[in-house]
Amino acid sequence: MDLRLDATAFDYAFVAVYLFFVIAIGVVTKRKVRTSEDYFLSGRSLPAWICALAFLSANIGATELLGMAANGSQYGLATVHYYWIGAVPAMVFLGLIMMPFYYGSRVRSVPEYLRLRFNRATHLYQSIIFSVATILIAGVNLFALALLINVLIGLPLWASIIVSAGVVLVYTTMGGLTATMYNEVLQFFIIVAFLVPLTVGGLARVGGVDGLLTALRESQVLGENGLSVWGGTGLGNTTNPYGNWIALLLGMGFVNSFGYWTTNFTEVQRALSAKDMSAARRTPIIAAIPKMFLPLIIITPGLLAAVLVPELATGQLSHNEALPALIGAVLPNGLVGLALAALIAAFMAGMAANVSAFNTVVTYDLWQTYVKPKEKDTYYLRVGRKLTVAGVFIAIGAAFIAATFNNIQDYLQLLQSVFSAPLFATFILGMFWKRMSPWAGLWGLIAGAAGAAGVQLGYMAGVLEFNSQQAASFTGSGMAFIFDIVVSVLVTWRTAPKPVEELDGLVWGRTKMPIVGAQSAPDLHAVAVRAERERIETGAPLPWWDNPWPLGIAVVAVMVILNIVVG
Amino acid sequence: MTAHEPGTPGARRRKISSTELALDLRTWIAAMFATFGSMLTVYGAFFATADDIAKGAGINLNLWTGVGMIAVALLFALWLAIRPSGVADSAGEPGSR
Repeated sequence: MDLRLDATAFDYAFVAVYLFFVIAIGVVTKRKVRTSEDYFLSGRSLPAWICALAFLSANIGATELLGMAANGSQYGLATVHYYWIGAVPAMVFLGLIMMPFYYGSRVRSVPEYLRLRFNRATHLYQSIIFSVATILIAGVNLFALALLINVLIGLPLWASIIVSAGVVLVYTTMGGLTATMYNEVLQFFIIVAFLVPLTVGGLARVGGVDGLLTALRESQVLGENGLSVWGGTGLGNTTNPYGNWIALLLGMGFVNSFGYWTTNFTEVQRALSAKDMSAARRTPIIAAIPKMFLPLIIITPGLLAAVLVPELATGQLSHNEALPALIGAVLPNGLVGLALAALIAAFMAGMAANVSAFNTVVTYDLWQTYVKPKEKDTYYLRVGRKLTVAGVFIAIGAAFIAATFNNIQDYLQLLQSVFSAPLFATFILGMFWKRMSPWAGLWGLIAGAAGAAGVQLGYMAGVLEFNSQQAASFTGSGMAFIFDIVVSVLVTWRTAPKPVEELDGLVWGRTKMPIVGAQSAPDLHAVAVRAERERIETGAPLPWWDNPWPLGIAVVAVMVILNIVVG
Repeated sequence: MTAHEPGTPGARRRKISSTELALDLRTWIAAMFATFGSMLTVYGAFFATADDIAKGAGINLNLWTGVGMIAVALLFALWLAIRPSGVADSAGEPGSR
């Protein structure tokens, strides 16, 4: 079946208007950039709602949109696990428990925390790994965009790669993180604006929610558990596509999701740009609220596609094409243009998020720390801009590497399980175990990556057997976690710990100290920081609306209720 | 957005410059939604074909999405008018008590 949309000049006008807005934001926010922290961290000046929506948006890139609609059309309602179990607890945990260490120590990146908590070797290792992995992922986004545009409107791959990389280059170089995050928030709203009519129109076509459920029950295209969330997750007779409840809670809910949400700098960077500690802690928690309800307009279209696009069940279309196929079937001209703009927005925002995390880590963590320290701040601002240009060009190269993998999701999971899974183990030990020694940081991370890579290699060589590449990646993440913990404990046992005075603000139980380990970077919010320190000294409580705890607990409660009600 | 110290007297009365307005994300959301909303509304109201309507099973999706987007644009404009950027920035900041 041909997926080509019959887009008219009117539809292309939406894309043109969108690209105009994106570049205009870059031009305007350039005025906000005076120091390197303005460029890399928005001058730590943004209110919680902007940080929260950018935090959410950096994750709902287009690969996620297409992938989750695909899962919905193939496996049904159980796909909400990716949102509820697989995201909400980790987001709340990041805000309540981990953010005080990140934001309170005034670090400018996630690797920088490793330098303060452990040593330079750990820091150098993680900074290099992160930079490489991030820019590869930016390439994946670029390639996936080009593929989709090619299918939908017939533009050749190279043309969309060059145009979209060029637009991202223009606004990220000029406005830095502010432009990137502003565009991420715009992207969030425009995605919602096209998914709502897609869901409503689709539901109208199948006769409402009842019509959808009846059609799915009759056709059975989703299998017997397609319409329940927890059905078939029993241990003895597991028929749920996402495995039994232990695998769900531990594999997806704990190792993978906590690793991604709490230690991935592309996410954490959004919270570090918040204007004060309370806003930083509320960033992931506020983001969890829309995250809980997004399945309504992301997975429902997947279910609708299973009914309205019969080619999915017969195998003429792959499930990854569920969302584009549904757009063609339901949206009229005009909205087709909005959908095109939204998909392009999602891909470009995904790429820009990675490029902005890449340039921050390379500038602060590699260039300033190891190559040219003690230069003037404006020097690092210039370096950052040049690195942004370099990053975009490397991403274009990486797009062609991505082209050689059959399944992009598998490629991302592979990178994820080898490099990011061990990180969570190291952070959780490092934050809560004062005794953990500096060298345990490095060796734990290496052992974790080796464990995950071992599982991957064993699977590729045919020694280990899994149902799919993704199942291999999940197991790899688990191995990475276990290896990391074991080796960290062993190394700590044989080496000297860091003096406890050097851990102020970095470990559990030592956060309410005057912070010493932090960078001497220009602190644009000295007033807010001083007030926060005074508040801690006098022991005065935060006003309840600024306190992340009630909000965090409420979010988790709603998540549990949703799981019980939908069942 | 750190042009003035939070809580400075007169922050509330000061006139908001066009630069501040252009640097406020709410301005951009309102402008983009107003543009897209009007495009969809006009198309939906005057140019929608029978084929377009049939795709939404009788609902004029363009028209309603357009109206919804204009409403969102107005909400953001209203928020901007009630709490201009300087004020929204300092409100709720621990230093402003």
